[in-house]
Amino acid sequence: MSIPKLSDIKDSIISQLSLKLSQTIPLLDKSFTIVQAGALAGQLTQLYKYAGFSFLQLFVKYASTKGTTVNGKTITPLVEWGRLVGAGDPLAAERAELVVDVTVLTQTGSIAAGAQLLFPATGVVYVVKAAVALDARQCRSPSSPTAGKTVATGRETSATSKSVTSCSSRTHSRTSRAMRLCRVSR
Amino acid sequence: MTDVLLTNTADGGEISYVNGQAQMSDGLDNFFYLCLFGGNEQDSGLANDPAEYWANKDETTPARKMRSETQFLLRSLPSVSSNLTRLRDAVLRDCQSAKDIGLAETVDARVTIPALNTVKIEIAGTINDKTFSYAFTEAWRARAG
Repeated sequence: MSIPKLSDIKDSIISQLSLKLSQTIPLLDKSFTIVQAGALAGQLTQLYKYAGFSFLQLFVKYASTKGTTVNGKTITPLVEWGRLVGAGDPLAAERAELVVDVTVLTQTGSIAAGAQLLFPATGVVYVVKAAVALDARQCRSPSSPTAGKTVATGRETSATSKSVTSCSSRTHSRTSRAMRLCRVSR
Repeated sequence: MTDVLLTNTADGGEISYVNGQAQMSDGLDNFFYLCLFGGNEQDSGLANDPAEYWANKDETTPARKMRSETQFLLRSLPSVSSNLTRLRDAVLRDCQSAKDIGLAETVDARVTIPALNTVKIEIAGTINDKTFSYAFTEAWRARAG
């Protein structure tokens, strides 16, 4: 379903009115009927848009995260879906600084500052804070808290917090295959 | 053709009901009325004016677009006789669409001040060699000086 253009609705109303009024010649371009048809088309377009919006709220993937007030009751569709399935309300987003352990298989290159890392489970994107060379020397040097590790910053939701806090301690093994995310500070 | 009669009032066009029936007209007076007072009165008529009537945005027929320089000038020009010529020019520009769509062969206008802060606009259109005249009396809201 797609929303018809306002002009299409207007033309439809004009043609229906012309038929009912038994017009044998076209209405003048500036007439009460034309103006009325335009006003009605505007209202119908609003209804089309609202009906489309309401339909999308039936599906979690498309439910809105913004509050909408209907008959004095303000609801946030996605939050209502969350309550329905017992997920609870979302926690407020907070800035987080995380440490990522990167498996170094080929000891060349670096991860540049500003590079973006995607956590597929949540879709949250983290930004690398400082450039880190991908060599084993840095990975083996635990003297600096961030040596050999890439520090990323980003905003995390309750879903990402769960993933982050469940990870185990950092691993500096060259053979490690998993990239781990650990919370450094919040 | 027939159309619901729009009567000019200080508060815009009004519909009149007599014995439960809307008063009708032949549509020509409505056409000229909407030429002069259609659309948003805050619209200057200049290109890209954000105050343009919303329904114009999606209108594909140019003659159906409601833009009136006349009603804008009645809000912004002082009500003095020296502005009557400028107002008449605006009236003729607004009514140009009558000629553009082939409704009238000629359109002429006469603008006078019949009373304080009031303007009378008389339109004379020639259609099939017959002359039709319409007069609209409107408040001239902008004050002199």
